[in-house]
Amino acid sequence: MKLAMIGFGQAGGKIVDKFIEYDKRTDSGIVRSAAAVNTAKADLLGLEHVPENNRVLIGQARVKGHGVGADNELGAEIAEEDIGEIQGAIDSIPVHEVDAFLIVAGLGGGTGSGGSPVLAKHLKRIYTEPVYGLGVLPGSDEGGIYTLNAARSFQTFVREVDNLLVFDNDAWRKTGESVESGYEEINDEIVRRFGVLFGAGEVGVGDDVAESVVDSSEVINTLAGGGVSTVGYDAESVELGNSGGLLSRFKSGDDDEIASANTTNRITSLVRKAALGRLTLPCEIEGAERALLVVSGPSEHLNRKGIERGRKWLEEQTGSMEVRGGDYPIDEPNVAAAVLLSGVHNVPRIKELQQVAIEAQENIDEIQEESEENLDTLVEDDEDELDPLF
Amino acid sequence: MSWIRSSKPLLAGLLIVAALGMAGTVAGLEFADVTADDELEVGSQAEVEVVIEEPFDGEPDEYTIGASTEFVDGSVTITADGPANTDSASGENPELTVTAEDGYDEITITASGEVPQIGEGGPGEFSYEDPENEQFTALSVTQNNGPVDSVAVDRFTTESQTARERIDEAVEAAGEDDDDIRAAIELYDSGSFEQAITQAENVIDDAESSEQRSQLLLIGGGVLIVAALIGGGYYVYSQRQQDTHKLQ
Repeated sequence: MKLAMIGFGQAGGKIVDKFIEYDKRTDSGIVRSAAAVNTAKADLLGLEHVPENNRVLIGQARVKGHGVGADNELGAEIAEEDIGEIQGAIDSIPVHEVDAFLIVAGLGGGTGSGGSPVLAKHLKRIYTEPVYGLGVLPGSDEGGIYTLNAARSFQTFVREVDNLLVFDNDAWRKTGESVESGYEEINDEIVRRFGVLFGAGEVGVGDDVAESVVDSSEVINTLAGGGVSTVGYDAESVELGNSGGLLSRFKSGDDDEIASANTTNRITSLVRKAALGRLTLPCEIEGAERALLVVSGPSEHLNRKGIERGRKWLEEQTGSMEVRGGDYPIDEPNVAAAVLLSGVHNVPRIKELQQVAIEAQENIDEIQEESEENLDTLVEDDEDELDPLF
Repeated sequence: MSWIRSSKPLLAGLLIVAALGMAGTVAGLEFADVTADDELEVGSQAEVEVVIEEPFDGEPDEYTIGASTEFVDGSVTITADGPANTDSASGENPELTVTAEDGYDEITITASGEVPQIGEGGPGEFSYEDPENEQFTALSVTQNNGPVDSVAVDRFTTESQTARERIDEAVEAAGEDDDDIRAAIELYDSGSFEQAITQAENVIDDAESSEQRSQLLLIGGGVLIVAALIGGGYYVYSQRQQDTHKLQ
């Protein structure tokens, strides 16, 4: 699946940068074009892989390249005003070669949080290709204002995109990480998951071709119903089998049966772990409207039975009959299962986020109301005996 | 092809054969021992000596032996020596008649004097390529006025020796076909040694600098190759180190 990626804001830009790096490093062929949009010049300068021509600095007249300071309303306003500049960068993307747009943004900040729904709306109006969003939720300890931003942006973003893939920082935070290495690892996780998912159908010359290919249309159809999606993923190291060796000819057929059973069991257990334990947005998978399963690894460690069992298990768990599946043969000593659950509804984390956001909103309103009164009390003397200068 | 044209070399060949045959019958004497330096410096005092043993073995019972030299102010001494008798003659061109009855078993001929100039009134001429032309006849011996043999010795002057050495080096460095070397050889042959030395040294310098240049190029090339190998090695290493795994 070939994507046109647009990283909006600091987190979005960094993730897109990582996507390009992953794409180059592993030769996946998923990023057809990439652009980064920001109101802060410093953030754009920090990118390494996004082409310089596709780095768009917006809102220079308003914020002079210094960012919007976590004000996502301002971010949305600026994106609206400078949508022409963003379109300028998108014009260079050969849209006929891409299968979909992916707008990547952190939802807790200002620029990406406010601007990405605006961009999504704009792209959907102009292009027929689906526009997906990849939104990163802030950790619950990051503070009320970021939670409020995320809750408001989430609401709008879901409405404007064809599907919103969500990654919750809270679910991936570990204790004792430095800020930089923490985000670095999280970004690596994001990129690996979506890289495997979107890269599954991209077969190069000389690569193994899957028995049942996960083409871009499978991904598009899984995401088609709209709503919110989450991705589960789990991987396990395996030994790359040496098919040669004289002795292997004399081994009995029992070994093959055992190996086949192991492969099947490994795949089903990976699918379970991916769907139950390692979701980008933790949720109850029951009630997910559609699902897609991609099992990847060396072809001798993939088998139809394992994938079928995994798929069937997903059908049972989600209660949905629309579960697609396929394999993605890769010549490396790992086997991985990626599960895309689309149209998830039962997400406690979002409810919690909204609750905190409402509290934050109320708190802010309250403080604003009291603010003037409090200032008056501070500035004026009790008997009002003093006069101002002018 | 006419007969007259082709007959000329044939005639010359026949004459040479005849001359050799005559020499063979007339001069049967041979030098059993020659004492002489390989080369002598012009103007120096020197001496050469030859010994003829068994002077009547296969020879007439009586004959006259004569000797001459190209030494400047040279003197030659012929000494016939036997168990019973001794006889000798000396001078610039001495002659000594010996008979078998005297029972001589050895004739010693000695010539000494000052080594003559090359050209300029002396015998021979300077020639780099034909060093024989620079030789002089230190001693020439006759038997009944017919030639027996002679002793020719190479000569040199300090300048000519230096020039020859320099030209040798230049030839080694640049090869004989070099125009500058030909010029140096011509200068040598005409006796202009200082110029010949300068010319030869120029050739040597040029050759050395071009050799240095090519050496530098060689070293530069080597360094480049080593750098490329190291760079390539590092590239391969970093490529190997880089994690290209998609899944984990």
